Amino acid sequence: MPKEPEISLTEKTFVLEALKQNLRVDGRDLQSFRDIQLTFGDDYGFVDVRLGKTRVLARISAEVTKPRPDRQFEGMFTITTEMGPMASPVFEIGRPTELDHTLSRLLEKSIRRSTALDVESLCIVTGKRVWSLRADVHFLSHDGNLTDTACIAVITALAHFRLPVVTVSGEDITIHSVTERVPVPLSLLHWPICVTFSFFGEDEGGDMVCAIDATAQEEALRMGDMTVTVNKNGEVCQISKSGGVAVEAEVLMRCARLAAGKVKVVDKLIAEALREDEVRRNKGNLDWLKEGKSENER
Amino acid sequence: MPPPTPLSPPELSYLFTSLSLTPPIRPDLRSASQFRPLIAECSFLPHCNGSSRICMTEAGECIVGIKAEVEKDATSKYATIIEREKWIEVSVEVAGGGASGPGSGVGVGGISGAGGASGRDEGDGGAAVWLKEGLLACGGDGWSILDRLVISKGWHWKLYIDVLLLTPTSHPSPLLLSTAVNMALDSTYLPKLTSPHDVDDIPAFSDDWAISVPLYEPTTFPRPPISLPVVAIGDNVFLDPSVAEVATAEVGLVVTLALSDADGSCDIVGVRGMEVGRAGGKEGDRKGINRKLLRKMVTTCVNEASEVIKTLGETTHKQMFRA
Amino acid sequence: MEGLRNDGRRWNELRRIHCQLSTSSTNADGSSYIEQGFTKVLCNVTGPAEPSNRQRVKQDSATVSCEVYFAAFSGTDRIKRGRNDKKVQELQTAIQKTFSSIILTHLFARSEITISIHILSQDGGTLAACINAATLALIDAGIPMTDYVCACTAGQSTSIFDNEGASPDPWLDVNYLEESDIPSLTVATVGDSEKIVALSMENKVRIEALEAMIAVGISGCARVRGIMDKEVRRYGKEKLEAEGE
Repeated sequence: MPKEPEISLTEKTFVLEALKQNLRVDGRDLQSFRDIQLTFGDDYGFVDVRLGKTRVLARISAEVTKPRPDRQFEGMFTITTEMGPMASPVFEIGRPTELDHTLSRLLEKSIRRSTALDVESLCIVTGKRVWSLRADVHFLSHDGNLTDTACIAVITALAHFRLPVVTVSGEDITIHSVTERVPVPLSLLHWPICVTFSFFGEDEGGDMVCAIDATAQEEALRMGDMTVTVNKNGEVCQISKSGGVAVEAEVLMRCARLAAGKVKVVDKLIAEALREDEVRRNKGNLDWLKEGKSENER
Repeated sequence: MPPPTPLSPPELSYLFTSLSLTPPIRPDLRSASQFRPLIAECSFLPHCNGSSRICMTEAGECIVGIKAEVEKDATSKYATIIEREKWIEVSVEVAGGGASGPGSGVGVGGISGAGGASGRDEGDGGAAVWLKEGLLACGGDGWSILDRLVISKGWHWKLYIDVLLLTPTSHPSPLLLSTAVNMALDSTYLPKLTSPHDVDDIPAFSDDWAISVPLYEPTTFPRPPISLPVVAIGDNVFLDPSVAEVATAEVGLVVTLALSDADGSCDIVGVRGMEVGRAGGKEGDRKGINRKLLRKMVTTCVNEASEVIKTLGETTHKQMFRA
Repeated sequence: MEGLRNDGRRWNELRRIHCQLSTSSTNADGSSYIEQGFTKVLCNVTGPAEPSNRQRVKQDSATVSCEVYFAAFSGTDRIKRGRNDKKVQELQTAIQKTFSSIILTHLFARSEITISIHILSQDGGTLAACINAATLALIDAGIPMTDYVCACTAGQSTSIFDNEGASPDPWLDVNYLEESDIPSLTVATVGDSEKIVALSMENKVRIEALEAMIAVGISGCARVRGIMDKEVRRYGKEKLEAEGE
């Protein structure tokens, strides 16, 4: 298994000293994200998220299946993540690292357990047919903070996705293609967004140095981390800090509040990007709709 | 495969000599039919119908949890014996006390025909099969543990016996397992049926644990079985052999017994061979068991078993009713 | 009966904690057993020893690894959890990371310390019980640590706020019924410093209520530490006296 290259002592001291003086190598301050870029694909539910050099791709797909016998009214929703050598040579296919497990559990808890998606709305015929939704997360480039990026990617992709319209007549169901009926968006109850804090020990004043959206270099140097998932309504969906440096409760609360503020900004950014994409799509669609109308008149 | 030992040939040779003396000298100065001390606890898991924990110095620790779940009989009108045998499920999980981790489990105690099985899968060979066999064979006179599991028309209890072994060796003593299972069975209580016996509706049970029914009635027989390991070196027979003694022994047996009446006489439920080291013999020198020796080994077990079973039973009931 | 929880406790009462050191006679270097109400956990520690896996060798410090086993009979229904169960993996990672930062690993370069935990009975607060058991077993094994790690759970009793906007008292040390009903979190602190080394919450909670829950959790940790410390001292004294004879 290839190991990550170790950071030299000089570099280490430099980065940590700078952090203690509220400076980062890439010129950001400690409490800001890198630029978030959202690019949508031609299909619904296909999103490419870039956070600095970190790049994550999420894709939603849906198929009709039978529900689980104990959950007759509920559709299914799974999130799969796979890290391959494309993101970083440290990852190998088929050999999940610890990061893999933590990340998939975090997404699971943040998005699935917090019931961001109303799975009951995925039910077509009770006990017979339901939608099975699948979110595939691909990691294209790893420069730190995969968790937050993946979370933003999945949430944006879910908000962007459109489910084909289904009509039920007795036992038969008909799935209408995109060209027949305008597909409907999913019923998302809220948008949980992860914010990961990295702790770098105490500065001269005895305050804990904590930064959000760490780069890969900073992640290798940090002494502990914590992921908080919040939605824009100020509801904390999940907190997880396992191990690392011990931190005062007051600092953790400050982090949680900061996260709540950051999430509002990210939420707005996603909403804005979705709206722009909608406008872009409708422009093309309107022409096509006009064509359709003229055909009908004939 | 005999259990691996860390002992060197001179050590084995010394052990062999001292154990073949008359009277023999065991490394821990026990008498030939003396058992090693053990810690026994039962009925300590609130989610289980019966549970036990046995702790031995050399063999490690064994925790057994028994859970009973209501199950509908198989569709066929008359349950065949094969179907009925599925009512009991035994699974043995070996988790190393340390770095060795699980899955390294080998046949428990090197019992012949049970070797090489990890015991991790349900119903596979090895210890699970051996334990279940003893349970089913125990009875006679038309009595079977399976009859006790019938609830009402069309319904029965499905008994899950989960054995958790925390042991440093891959060859834990069969005594450890069997005492643990014995105690757990003895402390197993099932809720009392409140709906009528002859109706095939879903059965209803009383919430009151004070009137629950024991799986094995404490005053009637047979009692749950117990298996005693015994080895022979020369003409000497040793009960509860230690790892070093197993490595030295020429012949080994596991004798499964059950108390059959109040006087303390025992029925032999099963006898199986046990893999031993045969340190005294030459390579490939495999001799069978002498008839007289076999008799002596089994008799020793039978003579000692009643006391062991009684002591275990008393401990169980003392712990069960101390509140 | 007002203000009492379903098991008769007040909001700030812990369940009965019973703990023991050196429970196992096997070749584990340290062992412990803890009961928090009906949650029962057994822990064995081996090491520092040669790593079983070459890839785990670290040149400058010891590797801490953790194995968690759920006994099939530990819950209300019989469930077998495999090695690759996500919940098991998560528990393992959480415990392993927590103790990696507390054990003085730099003293044992190129070796491995293994914590293996057996969950015998679950009744809420599994992670907390696992962490407490591991602390005791590590102490029993004589492995140097900076301090005790003690964990406790706290739950938000109701989401209704009174007129002044103050949240009602959170519940300390939730049991299984409460855990499945109300949002709860597990918090682990180092010694009596009130510093948090691990924190885990899986339910939705308003940010305003979080602070009170953490505060109650920390106070619970302090009390758990008191109980554990008493047992460690009692056991230590007993052991010393036995050796003195």
